[in-house]
Amino acid sequence: MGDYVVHRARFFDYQPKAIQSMNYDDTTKKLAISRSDSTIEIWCTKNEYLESIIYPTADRQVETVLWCQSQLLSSGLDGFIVLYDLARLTAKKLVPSIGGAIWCMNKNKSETKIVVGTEDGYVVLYEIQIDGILFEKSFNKLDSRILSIAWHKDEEILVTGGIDNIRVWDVNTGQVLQRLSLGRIDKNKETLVWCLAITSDFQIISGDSRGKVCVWSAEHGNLIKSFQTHSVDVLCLCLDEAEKHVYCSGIDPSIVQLDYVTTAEQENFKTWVKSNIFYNHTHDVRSILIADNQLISSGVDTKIVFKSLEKKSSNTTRKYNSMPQKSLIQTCQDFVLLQHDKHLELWKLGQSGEESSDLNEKKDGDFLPILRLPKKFIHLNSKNDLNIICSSIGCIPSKNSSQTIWLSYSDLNSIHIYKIEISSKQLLEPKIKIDKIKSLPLACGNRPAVMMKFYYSNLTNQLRLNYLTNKSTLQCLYLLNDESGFALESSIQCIPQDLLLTDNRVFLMDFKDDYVATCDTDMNVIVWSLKTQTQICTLPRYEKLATCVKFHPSKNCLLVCYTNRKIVEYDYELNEYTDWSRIVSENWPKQWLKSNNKIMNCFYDSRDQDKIILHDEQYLTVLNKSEKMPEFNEKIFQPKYAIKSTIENGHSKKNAIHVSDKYRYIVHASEPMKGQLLIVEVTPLSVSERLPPSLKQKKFGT
Amino acid sequence: MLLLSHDSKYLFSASGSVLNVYSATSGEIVYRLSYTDNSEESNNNEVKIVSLCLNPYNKYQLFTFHLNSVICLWDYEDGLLLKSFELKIKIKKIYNVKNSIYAIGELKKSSKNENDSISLYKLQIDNSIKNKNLIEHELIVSNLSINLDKLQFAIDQNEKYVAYIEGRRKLVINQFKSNNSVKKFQSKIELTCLALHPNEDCIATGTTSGKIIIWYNYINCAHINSEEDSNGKKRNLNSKPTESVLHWHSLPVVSLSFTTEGSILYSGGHECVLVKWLFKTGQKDFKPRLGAPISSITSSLDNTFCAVKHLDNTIHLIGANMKVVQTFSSFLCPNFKTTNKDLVNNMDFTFYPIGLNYFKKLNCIVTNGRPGHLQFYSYSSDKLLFNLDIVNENYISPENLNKPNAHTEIECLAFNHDSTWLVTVERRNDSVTTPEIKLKFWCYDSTNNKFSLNTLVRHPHSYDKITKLKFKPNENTLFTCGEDGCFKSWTLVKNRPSSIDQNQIKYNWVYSTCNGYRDMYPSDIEFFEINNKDYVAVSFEHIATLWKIDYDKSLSFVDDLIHCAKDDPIKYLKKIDNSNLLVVHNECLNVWCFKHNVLDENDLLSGVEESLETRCIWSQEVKDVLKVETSPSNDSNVLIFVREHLKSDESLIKIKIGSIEISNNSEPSFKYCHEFVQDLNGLVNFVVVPNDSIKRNEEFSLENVHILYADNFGIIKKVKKSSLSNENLLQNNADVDLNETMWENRKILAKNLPESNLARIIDTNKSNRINGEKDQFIEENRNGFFESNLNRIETTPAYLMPKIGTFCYDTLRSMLFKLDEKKYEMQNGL
Repeated sequence: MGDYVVHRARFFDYQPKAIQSMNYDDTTKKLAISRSDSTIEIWCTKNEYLESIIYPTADRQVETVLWCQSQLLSSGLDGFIVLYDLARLTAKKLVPSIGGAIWCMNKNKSETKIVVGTEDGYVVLYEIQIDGILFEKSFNKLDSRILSIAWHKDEEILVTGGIDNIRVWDVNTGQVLQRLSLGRIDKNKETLVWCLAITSDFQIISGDSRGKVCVWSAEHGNLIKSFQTHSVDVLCLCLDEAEKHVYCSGIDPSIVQLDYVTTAEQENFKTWVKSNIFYNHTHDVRSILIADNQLISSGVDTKIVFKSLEKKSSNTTRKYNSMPQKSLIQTCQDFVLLQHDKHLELWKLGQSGEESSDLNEKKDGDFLPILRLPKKFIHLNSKNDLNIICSSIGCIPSKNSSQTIWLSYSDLNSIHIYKIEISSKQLLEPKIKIDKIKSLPLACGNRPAVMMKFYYSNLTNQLRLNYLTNKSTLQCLYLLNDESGFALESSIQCIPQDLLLTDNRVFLMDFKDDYVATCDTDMNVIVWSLKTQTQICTLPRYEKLATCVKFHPSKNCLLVCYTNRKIVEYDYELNEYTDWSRIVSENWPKQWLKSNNKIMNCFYDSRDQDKIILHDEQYLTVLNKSEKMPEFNEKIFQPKYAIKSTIENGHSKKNAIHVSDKYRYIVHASEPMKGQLLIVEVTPLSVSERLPPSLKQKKFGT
Repeated sequence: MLLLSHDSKYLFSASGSVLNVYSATSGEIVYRLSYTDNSEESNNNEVKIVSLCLNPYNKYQLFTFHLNSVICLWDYEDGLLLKSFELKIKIKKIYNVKNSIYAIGELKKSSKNENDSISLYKLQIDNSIKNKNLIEHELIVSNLSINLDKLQFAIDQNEKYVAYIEGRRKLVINQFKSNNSVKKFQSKIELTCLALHPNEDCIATGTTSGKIIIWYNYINCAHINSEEDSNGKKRNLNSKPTESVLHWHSLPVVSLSFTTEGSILYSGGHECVLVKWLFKTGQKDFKPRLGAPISSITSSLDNTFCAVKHLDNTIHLIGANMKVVQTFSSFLCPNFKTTNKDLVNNMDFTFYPIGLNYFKKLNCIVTNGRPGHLQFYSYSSDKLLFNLDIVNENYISPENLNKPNAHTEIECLAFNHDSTWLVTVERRNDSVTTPEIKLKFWCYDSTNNKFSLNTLVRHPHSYDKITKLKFKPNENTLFTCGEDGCFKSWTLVKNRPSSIDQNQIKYNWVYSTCNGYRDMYPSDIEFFEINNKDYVAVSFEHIATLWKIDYDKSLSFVDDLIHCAKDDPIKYLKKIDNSNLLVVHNECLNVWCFKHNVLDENDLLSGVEESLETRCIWSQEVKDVLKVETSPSNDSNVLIFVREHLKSDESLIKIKIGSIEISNNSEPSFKYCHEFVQDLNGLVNFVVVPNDSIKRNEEFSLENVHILYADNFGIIKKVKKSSLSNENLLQNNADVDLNETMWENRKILAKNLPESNLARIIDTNKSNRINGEKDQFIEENRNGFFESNLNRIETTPAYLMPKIGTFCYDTLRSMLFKLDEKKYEMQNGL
C-alpha cells in the first residue's frame, strides 16, 4: 500500500459524560439515554447505534427520561416535564410540576398516564396525549421527597419510595394503603429508597442507600426477604417480563441478579435468592433495564453495556465507550477544527523536517523528526454558552502566503459564519484576523443546522457551504466572489414535512460536486442532484443503518458502511451495486462482522483508488479492493494482517484486509493532504483519569 | 467419620476398625469398640469401619458398617455389641434419611449379577431385624456415575432424588421414581463437597476456588426441559438452575454441613477457620484459629453443637455461639500440607523429624505436634497432655496448597538425664532469606509442670543445620553436631547475681568448646567413662573418633576408628557397657572394644602414661537400621530396629527388632527377636518406654518394656507383647490392645462416664472407705469375691443382668462373715 506520513494527534480533549438515566421503548425499539450535561441520546437498539442527540437549552436539567406512546419525555430538577419533537430534536411542550424538582417519573402499563414524584413530596399524575401532557391530579403532599415510583400492572396500585419509607397508594382514591418503613444503619443517616419495582402478585422490590434489596408484601406491608447485595447504595434495579429475575446495581458497580425460585416442590413455596453477579462497570451504575432479552446497563463510567440474557449466544456482552460516533473534527489543508461541547478550536498541524525522498527508507512505525509542533490558533466560545451542534471549515486554495479560512458552526438557534485571515503562513506568530459574517441570505430562513460541510469544487473553483436545517432541508450556499458573504444556491427538502409526526431525520451526508448523498433514520440512502434539486437514485433499502457514506473521487460510486460492518459500493449512474460489492458482500470474515465497533469514517486512498481506508474506535483498516478477501474463519486481527509499508509487505500474503491496532479510541482519521494521514486519538487513560473516583472496595479479607 | 448422638451427649468417631465413643460433656473417651476384639487372624483392612449411622428405630443404638460387609449394632451407652449382620453389598457409604438407611456400594462378587457398578440400595432395617442374621436390600438407583475419590452424595429428605458429584465439575440429580430423569449440571469450577438442604430444594457445593455455590431450581428447570422434549417445541425458557455464590474461603472448601433446620450452613477448609453462614441472608460468622485445617464438619441433630474434625485428628465440639465447648485430641498427626503421595511414599519422609522421645517426669511421649509445637502425649491414657509452643509463631495457611509456606520447624530435641532440661533446635529455611536457627534451653518446673525458656542461642553452628543433640549423662553438658563440620559443647553456669535482684541465682547455658575433624561432618555422639575418665565418641561420616574430656572440659583427640569403606557413613553410635561401642553404618554394624592400658606405671615423675587400645571385635552386615535403643533396664543390651522391603509387595515393609547382647569378654550375640509387616508410609519412628506395671527384672526381656512406634498415618501403635514373646508369629498390627477382656476394659472406662446420681453415691461410699477412719470390720472382712460381685452389679445395666436368683445366692454368701478357714475346719473337725 502507499506509505503515509501519519499525524498522530492527541490534542482533542474529549470527555464523554456520565449517564444519568435510560429508558427503552418497545414499539420503536429506541433507547433514550440522558447524560450529566443534560443531553439526551437516542440509540437504535437493533443497530446498537447512536441515532441522534438532543442538545439541552441552557436552563434544562434532565434527571429521568421516559418513553410514552413512543414520545420522549424528560423531567429533571428544574421542575419541568418536557415532551420532545424527535424529528427536529427540540423540546415541544413544557409542563411544570406543582411540587418543584422532579426526582422520578414512571408510566402505567397502557401508557396513558405518567406519574412524577417531586422534591416537595407530591405525587402528580398526568395524562399523556399525542403531542400533549395534561395535568390530572395530585395526591396528598408528603413531608419528604419522593425518590422512586413504580406502577402496578393493573394500574390501580402505585408504589413510591422516599426517605426511610415506601408507600403504597390507591391510584383512584389517592389514599395511602400501606406505609412500609425501612431501618437505618446509622441513627442519623437517612435510608433513601433509590429504586422500586412491583410484581404482578404484589411484591414490592426496593433498593436503598444501605445497599440492601428488600422484597415486601404490598398487601400485608411486611418484609419478605432482604438481601445485602451491595456494600453501598443500590441506585437502580429492573424486573424482567416474566418476573423471575431482578437485576440491581448502584454505587458498587457489580450487577447482582436475584432469582425467584421454587425451593420446596410440594408446597410450591417460592422465594428470592441471590444468584449471579456481573462485573461490567468500573464506576457507579446509574441505570439498568431489560430490552429485547438484553440487559442494558450504564453509569458514571460512561460505558453502555449490552448483555444478552440468552445463555446460548456466544458474544454476550458488548460495551460502548461513548466515543463520538460521528467525527467532531473537520480538516481543511493543514488546519484542523475541533468541535467541543461549547467551544471550537482551530489547530494547525505540525510538520516534520523529513524530505519526501527519505521516506522510502523509513520502516513502518518509525518516528519522523518534528520540525514544528501542532499549534492552537483560535479558541472560539459559542455564543450564549449554547451547545455547538455542528461545525465546519473550508477555504479556497491559494498560492499566497496569507490565507483565508471560512469557519462556520451552528447552535440550537442559528448558524454563525466567520472569516479568518491568517496573514503569513511561515511566521511563528502569524497575524490572525477574525470577521463575523453578519447576515445570511434571507431565503435561508435562518434556521439552525444539524449538519454542515464546506465543499470546495475544483470544477467551478467555488467554495460552498452545505448544511441541513433541523427541518431536514438541505441548503447550499456559495461564497460570493468578493468574499463578503454567501448566497443561497439551492435548497432541497430531503424529508417531506407535511406528514405529521414523522420521526424520520437525515443523519448522514456526503457531497461531491453536484451530488449529495443522504441517509435517514428510516434506513434510506438517497443520492440527490443539487442542480436539479431532485433525487437521482435511491439505494436498495437495507435493514441496518448506515454509519458512513462516501463518494468515489472519480467514479460515479457511493461507498456505504452499515452498522453490521458490511460495506457496499453503489454505482448511482447505472443504479446498481458495483462488481466488487457483489463479490465481497457474502465474503466478509466472521471476526470482521462480529466486532461491535461501528465504522466511523471511510475514504478512498487519494493515490490508489482501489484502496479504502476506514476506521472504527480501535482499528484502522485498509481494504484493498483488488485483493481476495480472507477466509470466513480467518483471525483478521492478528499481526499477520497488520498494515505494513510497501517494502515490508513484499513477502507476506496478499490480503484484502489489513488492520492496525496502534491507535486506541480513534476519533478521527482523514487524509487532509496528499500522502498524509491525520489520526486523532483519545486514549482510554485520558478518559478514565477524569472520571470521578470509583468506590474503593477491598478485594480480599472480611 | 463423625457422628453425634440424638441428644448430643455422645460423639462417635471411627478410626480404622475402632469406634471411639466420647462423652461430649466431659471430653473423655467412654468406649473403644471393635467387633473383632478376639480375631487376630483376620486382616485388619477388612474390618475397617466405612460408615456409621444411628439406628432410626432406637435412639440408643448405632450401626457400624465395615468394609467386609458386616454390620454391627451397638448399644453405645453400655458399649455392647448387640448383634452383627451380613450384607450382600460392598458398602462405600451410608446415608440415613428419616427412618430409612441407604447404602452406596456394589454387590459382592459372589452374587455377581448383570451389573456390579456402584448403586444406591435401601436397607431393610426395621424393628424385626433382631431376628435375622441377614439384612435385605432393595435397589433404588443403579449405575451411579459418582466420583469415587470424593464420594460426595446426598439424599433428599423426602426421598425423592439423590444428588452427587460426578467427575470433577458435574453435579448430578437423579430422581428415584423415573429412572431416566438424570440431570447433569456443569459447574465452572471443580466441585469438592456437597450438602443438601434438609427441607428446601437446594444444594450447596464447595469448590476448589473457595466459593460455595448454592444451586436452586434444579428440579423445575429439569421439568421444563422434559416438557420441551416431549412437545418438540423450542421454548426460550431458562434451562439452567439458579446459582448463588457464598465466598469467603480462599482455599478449597473441604466440608459443608447444614444444621437440622437448614437455617445455618457451616463450611470449613484449610484456613483453620469454621465459617457459619446464616443461610437466608448470607451473613457470616467465624471461628478462627482452630489450630489445624478442617477435614470434616458434622452438625448435631439438636442444633447444639457442630463437631469439627481436623487434619491432625483433633475433634472440636463447637457450640452454636461459635465457642469451642470441648476438644478431643489424642496423638496428633501434624499433616498440614496437602497429602502429596510422592512425599508419603518416600522412605525417609516423616511428620516427626525429632522422632519419638520419652519424657520421664510425666511418663509421656514427646514429639512434633502442630507446626512449631511439641506434643506431650500420654500413651497410657491415650491422651494429649498439652502442646508446648516452641517457636511462638502463628500458623498461616498458604495461598496455594501446592506451594506451602516455610514454617519454623523443630528439628532436634534432647532431654538431660533427669529430664529437668529440654533442648530444642528450630530452623526456618525458605531458601530465599537467611536461614534462622535457634537453639533453645528450656527448664522444667515440676511444681507446675511448665517449661520456661532459659537460654536462647541464635545460629549456634553459624547458619548451618544442627544434626544431633546429646546430653552428657549425669552432667549438665550438651554436645551438638552441626553441618558446619564441628561439634560444640555447652555448659550450664551460674550467672553473676545482678545488682537488682541479688538473692536470686540464675543459671545460663554458655558455649564451651568446639572441635572438628578433617573437614568432615559430625553425625552422632556417644559418651564413655573408662577408668573414671570421660571420653566422647563422635562419628564423622565413616570414621568414629574418640576424644578425651579433660578436667577443664577441653577435648583432646585420642583415636580414630576406621573400619568401613568411605561411602558407608555412620548413622548411629551406641555404647554397650562402658567398654564397647556399637557403630551403625549404613550397611553394617561394628562393635568396638576399648581397653585401657597403663603403659608406664613406674615413672611417677613423668605422670601416668596411659593409652586406650581400640579394637573391632565384631562386624555384621545389616542394612537400613531405623533406630538403636539401649534397653532401659540393662545397658549391655541394645535393641536395633531394622527395616526390610518385602519382595512380594512393594507397598509393604517388614520391621525387625533385634537385640545385641554382650556378656563379659565374649563375642556379642545378635539375634532378631521380633518382626512384623507394615504398610510403607514413610519413616517409622520408635521409642522404648519402661513398663511400670511389671516389676523390673534383673534379666532383660522385652516383656518389661513397651515399644511404641508411629508412621505417617498419625496413629501411635504399640508392638504387641503377646507376639513379642512368640518369635514366629507375625504381629497383627491392631491399633489398640483389645486383648484385655471386655470387663476389665469397661471397668477402667466406666470412670470416664459423666456423673450420675448412683455413681456419686457409690463414689462417696468408696472414698469414705478409703479416707475415713479404718473401720475394723470392713478392713478385716474385705472380701474379694464380694467386691467383684458388687462391682459387677454396679457396672452392669439392669436389662443385661442375669436373673437375680442366679447371682443372689453367691452375693449373699459372699456377704457372710468370713471365718478363718482353719478355724472353721477345726470347728468342723471338732
